[in-house]
Amino acid sequence: MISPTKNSAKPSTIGTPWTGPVIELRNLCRTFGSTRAVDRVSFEVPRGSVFGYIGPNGAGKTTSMRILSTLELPTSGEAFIEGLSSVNDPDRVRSRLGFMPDSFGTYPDTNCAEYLDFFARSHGVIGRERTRRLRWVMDFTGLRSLADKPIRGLSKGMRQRLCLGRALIHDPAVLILDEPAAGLDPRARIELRSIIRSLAADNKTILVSSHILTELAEMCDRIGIIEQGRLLATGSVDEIRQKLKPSRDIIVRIANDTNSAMNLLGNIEGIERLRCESNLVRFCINGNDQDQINILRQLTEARIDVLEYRSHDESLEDVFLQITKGHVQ
Amino acid sequence: MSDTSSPSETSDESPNLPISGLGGSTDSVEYHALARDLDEPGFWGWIDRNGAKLADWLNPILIKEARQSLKSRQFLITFFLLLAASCFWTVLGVFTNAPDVYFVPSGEYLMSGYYLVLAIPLIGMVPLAAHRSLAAEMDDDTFEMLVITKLSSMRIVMGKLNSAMLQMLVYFAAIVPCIAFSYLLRGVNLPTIAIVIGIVFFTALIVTAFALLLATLAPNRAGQTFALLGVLATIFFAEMTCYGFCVQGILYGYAGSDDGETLMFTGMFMLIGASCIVMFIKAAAARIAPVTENRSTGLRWCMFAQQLLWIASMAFLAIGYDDGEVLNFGMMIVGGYWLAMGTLMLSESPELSPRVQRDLPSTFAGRALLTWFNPGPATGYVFAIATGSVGIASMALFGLLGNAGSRTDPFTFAAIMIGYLMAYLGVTRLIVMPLLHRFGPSLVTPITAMLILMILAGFTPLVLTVVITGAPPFSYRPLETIDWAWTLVEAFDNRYDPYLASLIFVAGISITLVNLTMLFRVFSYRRISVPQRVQQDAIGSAETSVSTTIS
Repeated sequence: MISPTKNSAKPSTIGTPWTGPVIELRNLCRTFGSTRAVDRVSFEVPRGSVFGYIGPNGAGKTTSMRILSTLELPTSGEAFIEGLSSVNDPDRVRSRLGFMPDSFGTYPDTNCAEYLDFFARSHGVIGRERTRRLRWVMDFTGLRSLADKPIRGLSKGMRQRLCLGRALIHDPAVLILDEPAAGLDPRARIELRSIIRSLAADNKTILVSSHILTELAEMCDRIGIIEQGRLLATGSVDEIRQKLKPSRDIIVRIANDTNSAMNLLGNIEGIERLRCESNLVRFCINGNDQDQINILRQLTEARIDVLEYRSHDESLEDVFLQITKGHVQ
Repeated sequence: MSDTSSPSETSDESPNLPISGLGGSTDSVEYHALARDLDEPGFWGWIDRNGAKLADWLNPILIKEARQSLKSRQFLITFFLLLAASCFWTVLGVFTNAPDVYFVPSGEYLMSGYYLVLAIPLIGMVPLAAHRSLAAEMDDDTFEMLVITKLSSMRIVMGKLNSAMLQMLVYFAAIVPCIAFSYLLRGVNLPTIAIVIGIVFFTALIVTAFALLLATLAPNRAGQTFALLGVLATIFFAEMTCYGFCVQGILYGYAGSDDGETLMFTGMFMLIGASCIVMFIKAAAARIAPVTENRSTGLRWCMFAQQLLWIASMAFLAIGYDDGEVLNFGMMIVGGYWLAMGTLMLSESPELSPRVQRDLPSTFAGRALLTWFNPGPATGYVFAIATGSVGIASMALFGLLGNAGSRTDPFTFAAIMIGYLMAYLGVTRLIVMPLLHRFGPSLVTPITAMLILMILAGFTPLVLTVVITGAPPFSYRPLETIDWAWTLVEAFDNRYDPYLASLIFVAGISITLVNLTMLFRVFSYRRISVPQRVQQDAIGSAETSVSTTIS
């Protein structure tokens, strides 16, 4: 990756779209007095992917998101959106960015349509494009029937929708969503999950933080776990899981001949902690998917009737608890 | 598409965008009027479409604020109170002047009442509403959502000012029939009415711009309280001054539209007032602009232009009245102005962001002349000292054309003012430099340091004299030269000793020389090239803009 500020060696790319990472943090640091809110955080998010940012309260998620959104300055390090510095070129970054903060203000005297219309105009969306975007956002966020309603009369969940609509009104390439599911009812949360996936499918790059880890695990391509300002792990959930625990737990439900299965499995190299509970056989392997397939093949070739064969993965919550220590600053 | 957007109309015009959303199906609900295309045929359709085009061109904040204002209770109450007050005054005026109202010119009397009815909302309510509007954006967490849009900080502030102007026009429109009535009653001519209304509008604009600036200075609740008090004090001062000028001076006084002096002073007031409005707006925009942006150069040009206007005005008056005292007064204002501005510039960060470094002057001449317009406390100090000194000296030169009278001549006065400017600002810089280096840029540190220095300079000779002689001084002596207040009183009341004036001047020069030895960092910054990615993006944006214009 060539630095956007020191790129004399890079061949000319004028006229071509940006192909590098859409979101990039490089050794980002932010201190408040003696507190290091963000401590040398680096990660990249490619175009069209969803990156989940996980951490306890006060971990530094919101601070790094605010720096990316040009609302805060880093003490050191750099933050880029499509190769443009959030620090030195905030005006160029802002046109590419839709930011939904965890807490936000609204204009209570205005109604939903006026609010969205104002932000569309503020982003330079004018004429028919504005009315088209307004219609789309109202449909997308489910605010069509509430367009005339004053903002002061909206519930928390509806305000969240309105804020999401505001972030989407100018069709940004990058979405930074800080706790977007907070305040949404279970149905809306499920819908939000699919919305985020469909936005990513539409080539939008999304950085999302949430405390609801099961949701993040389902919608994110990659995650970053942050605590006390430090990024402890990044990668897909599977990759992190693999790093934390190289072995995998396998559970096999045998139909009848459990002893034969135990004998067979006991002779296979690489199987550890083999144990049997009624017709349920459990063991661990230090291997990959192919090793897991091979074991199943050996069982079926030995004419052992297998009712169920699965690996037991640790959930994102387990991973999170193992990585973080629960420290807050 | 139909003009009213049928309920079945959906947003499927954006095929690349996912439609499945949070709300489930709402196809049966009609779109809000703002989300419909204006395709209605005929004259009214044409009006609609062109109105929408005009609105696209207007500042979005103006549109939002207009919508909010029309719904706000404050606007409604003020508007109807204004209507009621103007009706009441009309009736009262007619009754109290009856039956003479039919024979004796009484428009002047009624106009003074309408002045009050107009000035209270315009100079009082509108600036206050504008101040609260900007302060509330910061208070209610809506400001951050605003700054991450395409709106520049200048457009945000201008949007607030524009909406204030719109309110002023609405209030004015309500009182126009009453003003026309007072004209019909004779006693006041149209140019006089125009001057009075112009002054009220202009004063309201200056106060509004200042109120907006104060709103950006307060980062927290406590600060906002002080800012609000500042706005109220400014409003009170402006109301009183404007009343004195318009009612006592123009309507009831000897002045009028046929009086050259009135026109001259009104013109000067508007010229300098306009420069103040620009300065306040620029300063407010600079306060809310990203820290990495160049927030200083534009303001310095503005200060420069303001000084030129002031010098021209004072020279014009001095020559016109053949009185050098006017120049001395002008020099005192210039000295105080640069002392204040120089102190504020000392609070700037010495670091130049890469973004600012991209636009630094690169030629030798540019570096020699324009370096002092670059942001930073050191360049700010030199800029204040140099521009202030040249300004004061130029005014002194105009003294050759006028009569200095029996008091201090302009050259001696210029030496005093230049000396004080250099000395006080130089000492303040020497005090605050280590503090700012240790604790970072702060507006409070240099202002506090300057205030303490000026108070100490005022009291130290007095205390020393009391300690040495046991009694306070009764006459001006060389020790009192550090006391700026007494020195200025002495310079205005009597002929000031040129020897003492040169002593002040030399002291100022010496302190400046000490400061100049610490300017090396100013020259260490060089222009850097614009990153290739930014150039690429700029070209992409330009291409998009051209294709949009063509389409």
